[in-house]
Amino acid sequence: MNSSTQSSVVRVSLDNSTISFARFEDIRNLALQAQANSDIRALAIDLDVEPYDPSTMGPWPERLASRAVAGSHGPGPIVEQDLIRALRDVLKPTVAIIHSSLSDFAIDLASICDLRLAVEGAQMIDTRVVSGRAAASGNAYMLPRLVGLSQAMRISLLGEELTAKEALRIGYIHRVIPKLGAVEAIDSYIEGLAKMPTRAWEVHKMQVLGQLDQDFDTAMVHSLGIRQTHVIKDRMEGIKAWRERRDPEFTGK
Amino acid sequence: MNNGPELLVRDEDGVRHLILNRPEKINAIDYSQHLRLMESFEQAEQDDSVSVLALSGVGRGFCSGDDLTASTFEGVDPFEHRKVDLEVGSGPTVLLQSCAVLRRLSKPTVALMHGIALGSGYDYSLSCDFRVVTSDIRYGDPRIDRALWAAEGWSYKLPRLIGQSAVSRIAYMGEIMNGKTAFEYGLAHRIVSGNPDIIESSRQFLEELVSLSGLAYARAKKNMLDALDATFEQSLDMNLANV
Repeated sequence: MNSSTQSSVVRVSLDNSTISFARFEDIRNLALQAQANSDIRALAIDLDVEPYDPSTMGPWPERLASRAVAGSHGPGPIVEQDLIRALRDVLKPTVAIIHSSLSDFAIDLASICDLRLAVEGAQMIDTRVVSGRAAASGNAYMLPRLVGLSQAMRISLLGEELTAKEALRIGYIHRVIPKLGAVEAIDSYIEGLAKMPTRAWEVHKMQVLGQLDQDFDTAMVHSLGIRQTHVIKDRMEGIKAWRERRDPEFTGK
Repeated sequence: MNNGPELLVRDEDGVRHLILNRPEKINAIDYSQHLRLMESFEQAEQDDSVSVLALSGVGRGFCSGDDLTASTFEGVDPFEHRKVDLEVGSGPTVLLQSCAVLRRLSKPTVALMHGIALGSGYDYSLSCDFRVVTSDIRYGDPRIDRALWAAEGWSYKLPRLIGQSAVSRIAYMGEIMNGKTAFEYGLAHRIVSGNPDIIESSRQFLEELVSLSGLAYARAKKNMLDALDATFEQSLDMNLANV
């Protein structure tokens, strides 16, 4: 599959020529490895997915084969959910790069990432509801929290096509990359993410994600608990660099 | 604790102004200042002559963040019993408590921010109902640039204020916003001039807040904050109980 682990970044891609359950499982495994390997400091997913036929995705991975029940409505999206879970459990920086098209389950993959970049001219559309299918792999939870219920309904229920510019306006996309020099700009962006204090990012992220489902008082205790139980080695370098008025050199630990 | 000169308290037309006054440190907040602020928030809540609480700062900016150069606190510390000797130090108990008091004030609260609003200054602003900024402000939380982070509740508040997507920019990336960006993200409610000063420039907005029904405001605010942690049906029941 198209994936690479160059230096400290795991980078995977998904497009219509390769989309399959086997591919989802491969990406899941890479995500699990990325979180487990302390030398990995970012995960990037290149997405270029137009609406596709979900009935041509091939067999489920052996691990889940027993759960692929028969029936007119088919099995639930268990493979997709497992992939989403694995990506959510990557506490390091995760970024989705949308090259020209983003649709259906690929939207869910982008939504679970911390950051979303789109190349100028890219478009996104969720055809699941308008084609009589129900999305059930997490976007009903994620999208309203990302951009508000109003825009989430527009995207998920109406199936409106959004340009990169419009997706940026509503806050779904974080940056639109000009076509000219896009490859270099994206590589540079990901490289910058991999130089950040990864452990500090993780501690930030575990608070935000955990507290989406907590009440205020519980969230305060959660924050204090994390504060008292997670050491960030890089913080000494951060303070030292600040006092010496230079750029820090973080290890990610 | 008496309010020393490092925190000015001024009442004007129903507005209780709490003005950070450490201009030589761009109003960086040390432990004593946190205690003064928390006590002042509680006093404002109890004082019937106060309709609105406004937080601002003198000098070049609203607040440059935590005072990393502060010497050890030597006064009577009400949180002494919660201090623990860990490698990571004690938790930010006083900031957390102070922000919690500010957030639950029944009266309108507003942060009037000019110049610089970073770190703990940014934290306090997230606990206010409204945020007024100047266009040239440098506003946000750059703690991650130094591999640091706060635990005062931003991770609960920020996604609920402006949506989870923008959290990645502000919290994970440490993006410093100017006034226009903060307004576009929906975090700032007004952009005003810093001349002659932000309090003067915000006068009309403050008057609007003072003119509101205090009781109606308090109930609406309580309903909204409570509903953030409730299911839909629970929120309806709570609304009825709060009429």
